[in-house]
Amino acid sequence: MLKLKNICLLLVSLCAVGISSCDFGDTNIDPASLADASPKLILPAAEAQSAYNVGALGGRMPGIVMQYFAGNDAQQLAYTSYNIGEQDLNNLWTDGLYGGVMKDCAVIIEKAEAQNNPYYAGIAKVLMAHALGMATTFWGDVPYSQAFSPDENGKPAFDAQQDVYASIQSLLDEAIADLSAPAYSNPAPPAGDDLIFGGNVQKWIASARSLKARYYIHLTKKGVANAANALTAIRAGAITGIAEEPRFPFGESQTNANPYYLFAIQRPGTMGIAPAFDALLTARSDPRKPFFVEKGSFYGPGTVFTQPSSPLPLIPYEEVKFIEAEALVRTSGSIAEAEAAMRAAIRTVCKKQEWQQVLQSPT
Amino acid sequence: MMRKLLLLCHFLLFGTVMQLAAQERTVTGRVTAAEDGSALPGVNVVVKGSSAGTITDASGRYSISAGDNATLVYSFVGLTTQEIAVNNRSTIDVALAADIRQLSEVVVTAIGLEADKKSLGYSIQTVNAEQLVNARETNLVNALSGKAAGVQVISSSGSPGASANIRIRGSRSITGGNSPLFVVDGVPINNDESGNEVGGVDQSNRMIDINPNDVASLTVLKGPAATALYGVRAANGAIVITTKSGKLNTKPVITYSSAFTLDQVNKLPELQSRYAQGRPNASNPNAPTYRGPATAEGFSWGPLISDLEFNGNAEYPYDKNGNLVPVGTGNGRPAVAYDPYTFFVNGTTFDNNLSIAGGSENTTYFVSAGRLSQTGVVPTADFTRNSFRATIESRFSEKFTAGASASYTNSGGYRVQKGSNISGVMLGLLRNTPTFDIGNGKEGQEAADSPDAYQLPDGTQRSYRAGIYDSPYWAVNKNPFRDNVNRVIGNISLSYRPLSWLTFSYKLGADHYTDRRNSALDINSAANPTGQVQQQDINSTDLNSDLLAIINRRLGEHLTLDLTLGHNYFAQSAATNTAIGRGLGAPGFYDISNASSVQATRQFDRRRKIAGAFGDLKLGYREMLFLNLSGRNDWTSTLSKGNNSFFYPAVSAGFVFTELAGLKDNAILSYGKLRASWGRVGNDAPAFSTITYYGSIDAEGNPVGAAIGGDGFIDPLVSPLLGVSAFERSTTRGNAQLKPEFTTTVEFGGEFRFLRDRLGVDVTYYNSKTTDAIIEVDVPASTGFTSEFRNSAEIENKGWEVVLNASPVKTTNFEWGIDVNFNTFTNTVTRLAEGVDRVFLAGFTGSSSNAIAGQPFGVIYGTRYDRNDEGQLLIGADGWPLIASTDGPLGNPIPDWTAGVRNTFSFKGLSLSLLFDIRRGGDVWNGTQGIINYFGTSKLSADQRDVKGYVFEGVRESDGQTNTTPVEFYPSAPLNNGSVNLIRWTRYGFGGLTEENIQDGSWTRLREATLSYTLPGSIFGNSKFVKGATFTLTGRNLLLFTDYTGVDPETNLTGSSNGVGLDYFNMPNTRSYGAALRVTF
Repeated sequence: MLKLKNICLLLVSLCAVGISSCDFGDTNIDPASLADASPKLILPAAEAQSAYNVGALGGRMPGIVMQYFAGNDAQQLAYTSYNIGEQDLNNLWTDGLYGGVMKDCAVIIEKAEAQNNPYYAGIAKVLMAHALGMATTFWGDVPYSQAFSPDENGKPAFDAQQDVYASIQSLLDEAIADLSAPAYSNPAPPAGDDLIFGGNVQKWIASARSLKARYYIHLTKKGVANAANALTAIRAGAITGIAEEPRFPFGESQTNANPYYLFAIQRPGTMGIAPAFDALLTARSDPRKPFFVEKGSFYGPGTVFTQPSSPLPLIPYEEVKFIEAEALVRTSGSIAEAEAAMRAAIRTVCKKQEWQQVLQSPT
Repeated sequence: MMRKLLLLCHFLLFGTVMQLAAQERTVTGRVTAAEDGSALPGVNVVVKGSSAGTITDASGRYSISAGDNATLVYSFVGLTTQEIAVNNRSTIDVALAADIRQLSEVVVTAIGLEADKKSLGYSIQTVNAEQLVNARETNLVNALSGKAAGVQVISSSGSPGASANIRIRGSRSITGGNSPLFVVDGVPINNDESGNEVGGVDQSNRMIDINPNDVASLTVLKGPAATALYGVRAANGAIVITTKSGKLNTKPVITYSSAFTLDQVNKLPELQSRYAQGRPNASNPNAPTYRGPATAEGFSWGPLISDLEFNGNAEYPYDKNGNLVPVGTGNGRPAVAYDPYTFFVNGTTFDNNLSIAGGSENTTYFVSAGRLSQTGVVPTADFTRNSFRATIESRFSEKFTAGASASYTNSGGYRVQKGSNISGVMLGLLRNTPTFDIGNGKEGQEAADSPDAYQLPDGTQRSYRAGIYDSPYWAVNKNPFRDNVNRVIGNISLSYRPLSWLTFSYKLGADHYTDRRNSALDINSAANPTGQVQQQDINSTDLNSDLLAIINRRLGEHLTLDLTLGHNYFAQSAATNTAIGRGLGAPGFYDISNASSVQATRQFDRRRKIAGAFGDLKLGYREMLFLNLSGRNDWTSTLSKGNNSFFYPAVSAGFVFTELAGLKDNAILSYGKLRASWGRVGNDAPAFSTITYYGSIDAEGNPVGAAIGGDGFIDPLVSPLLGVSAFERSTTRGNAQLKPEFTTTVEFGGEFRFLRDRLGVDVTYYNSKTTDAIIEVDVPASTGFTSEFRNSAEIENKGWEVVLNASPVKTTNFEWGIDVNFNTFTNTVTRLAEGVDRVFLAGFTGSSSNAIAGQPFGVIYGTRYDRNDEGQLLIGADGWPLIASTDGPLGNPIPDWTAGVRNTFSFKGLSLSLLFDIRRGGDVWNGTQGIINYFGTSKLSADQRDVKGYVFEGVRESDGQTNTTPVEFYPSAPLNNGSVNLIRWTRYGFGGLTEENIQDGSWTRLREATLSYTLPGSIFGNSKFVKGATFTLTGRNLLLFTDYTGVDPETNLTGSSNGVGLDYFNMPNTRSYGAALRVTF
């Protein structure tokens, strides 16, 4: 009988042992992942994604539609017949823009404003405006004012395109204001983590103004005042040379390379230069032709598209010059100035270092 | 909880005291087994007509008080009950003989507890171990096909070492796994599979490491009533395996078996041999142009092969006979259509096993060693498994037993690339044009061994498309994948029996494996011409501890009580280290040191700890009415502290109505039982889902700092970016409010045996509902997140299972038996989440397997034709059907019903067994067919190439009138402007619309045919050496009847993932012929 009592006690204490083993500590925290990151760590990703978007799906698809490129095989061939399916641009929206660079910028802006870091906030606003501009160019009405606050807005509404353009301009204005703050107001200004400009805020301000000009010139059908605004932005101090272009310096390895190069290597033979575009370049004796086309092919070794480290500018110098020329003409400004701007654009472009490299590389 | 336990203890105490009062004589004795004289512990000894009773101890001894004229009743499951009069004796030794009729009814249930099948209130099925071995499958999971109702096995392909997808009663979880729990000798073991995606190789699931020859018994536990004791890990059922062990007092029995099988491809898509490589010609629209390999032309829309001839150019690297030119301009030697299927070879499998089993008076042992080596039907593919096992159990005293078991397996192979993979074998093979000889004059293994078949003198590829897709011979040589798994599974067990009715048992088990995977793409491979190497190390450890207290007691003459209380602790952790190097320097050297840029990552795949406490109570009344109550409470680490405890109850009842006085020993209905059960089990969340991290997953699925993506065609960039670390906030939002998901099942069934067991029927109906299923919900990307884990989905499974056993003919020498397993079920996702229409499970952007509210689980979804509300096709002005602007659900991968029908004929020592496996329904997306139609290499695209004047049945979109506009499948001028986009098979995009390629995957196959002869014992009568021998001829997958046009429809692109029904350049399945010999010494 005594034995039985002991056994019962044993059973009971076993239960107690069981219940106590319930505190699992940090088993459910992933040791291989970071739980929080500062803007310094996020900025390089945002910059890389901005540039990648310009050259990946966001470059090829419009390029096919605009007949610069033509598909030769597989899905690219289908796109060339305007056979673009419901899901075919999902990746750009989900992983490139909203779930990519725009999310990163929203996080940087939130953290930078909380920590009083105007330079980070400013750069992120420039990148956000650039991405928002891409989104609205592709899709028209897109979410912005209700975006990036999942707790308040689980399903952000789509802003009218007019409001989106207004948001872009105000973002850029805020960015310029942030970037004009004195350096000492930043506890830790961007430096090596800013892969585009290395922390040089003057260049960022110039890029911001250039973007303002671009998004004004899109709206010329809504009134010539927009062309005037574009010109004002350029005159206030936009990009004045190749050295001021916001270009992302892609690398030589496949984990860091230019997306046009990646497409040439990973999906060879599926896309080439459009015959119509090729004919146009030849007919006009365009000096840029040797940089785009090699031996009749888009993907000959000697084109800008097959150099892994060809940098992609978020807005190139020549575009600013073309905008300047167009704005001058529309606002009845000096035709001679407009012509000079266009010539400067073409001449400078051909002098770009990476384009020169193309001419020198073995064919 | 504590108080209830104390109350129970006191009750039992009281009961015993009561019985000790009436004593007259003490009778002692020993109960042994009649067949071999070994001791029988656990035998019930009861004084007839009273409630006095006891149970024999570990050495078979008992001691009971009974009147001089009383009768003692000795009973035990599986043995014939004996009633013996005391007759003034003080010592009564009894020998109990086996009750053959009942022997097969001892089953192993959850937690390793044994029970009489008669007493269970839920559906349970055992699979014969001999049949598992005779199936001659490398993967134990494949061997279960067609052998248990409700169990559905889909193998991913016939490649050596390929995985198999197993489901019991359908799928219940969207993010969680749907595979059942595998338990070996009471220890749950790992059945992981990692890396099975739309491309890559066929990875194994880890049950492939278990040697089927070691299995003594296998039980399938189907519903929550059966598995509640396993808690959170067994929401999808459990497969309980017991391995062989020795027997006490037996001389060592040595068994050696050797089996050989020859494997061949069993089914392949039909290809054309009439048209050459090429495409329509803009300048001469009525004569398509031949364009050879040097142009990298992908299409086979060229001229008729009979319109071409060779020109004898000896310098031409792509064909020894020279270039192909139009007839009349060459040397007169007609062009040849080559057959790419000469690529396949015969595979072989050798399986050798040796085991020794025996026991002394106190110790039993079982030792086995096995080696299986298999080569595939694709040259160079192979898989090898070496396994060793040792099990010992020893009785140290009457009350104390200890045991230990350990097994070591080394498995791995050389695997070939499959699926959506421009380096994939089937992709290169099926897209190949008929005018190109992939073997350059050689076939099969000979071609695979000759570099001049797949490589040009300058080192680039010799393939029909100049290296844009890898030539299959190139792929098997230059895209190697090797894996090497070392796995140790072991357990130690202790058992202490202080009283005859109380046993404490403890079992500690561990399952540890390391999987080293090396794969590479050599320089000039299509998927990465600069070359690539990947080295991956996976380490996984599972630890399981079970502490039980088991009470078996008789309460009165008619009532039996079995109570088990236990505690379980389970810890699981797995991590993968990956190094990927890109840009190789030296060709053919597949090591990381050869790469110009290296990226290294480490990922924790799994980290989980579970603690649980459980209790199980079984009551039996007069061997007629049975009631089983069980409950378990689990605490899991994957949910936050407030939400991580949950309780699973289950109750089941059985009524053997043929035990009633009027129905007993009925000649027609010899056994009848009704069952009902209700149970609730749950599943916890995936690890690490409660907080939001900073980081991403790259294209290979490894966590990285930042992943710069957004393009489905090229790889993303990964951190470090140009020497700078970068992180992004994850697009998956963590959810600290996650709760467990629960499945509640109601089950009704009956088991009936007629005509003295000549006919047996077991019918079960079940209805299962999962609520709060955790799904990764897609949220609008404009919130800054793309997904979040939430409890919100609901899934329903309901179905019927019927098991039928009959012996139509039974004479002394000849017997014919029929066994049928029939199963039909529906598996529907009844609800997802607010605002969520669809959850992607597996597949591609255009065609995928999904969970969609209101649709069957895994429904195939994709692009489709435009139709009006009546379902009629909408046709455009040019006579061609239009494409719908939105995608939709198109096919149901769940079969209408499946059945396994086995006929066994035995005559003396000879036995013939045939297993037919039938499936009706179950759609498969034949993506392969769509692509080979697109490129013009399929037989269909050749047979229908000249179709003219075809009118699609439908209505005109413009005015709703019936369509009358005819079309030409291969347009001629003026419609033909030289574009290759206007052909019937190319105009709907790459691979056509998903809808065009959904096919019915029904099949009837002769899955197993076994003819075995067991040499009669008289031959060996006095031999001291050989004691028995069995010779078997086996056939596997010998016949296949199906309307499916691709490879064997039993195929799955993504292995054992939750998505099913996709075929996109899957590797083919095989049929096998073999022989085996087993000798016992």
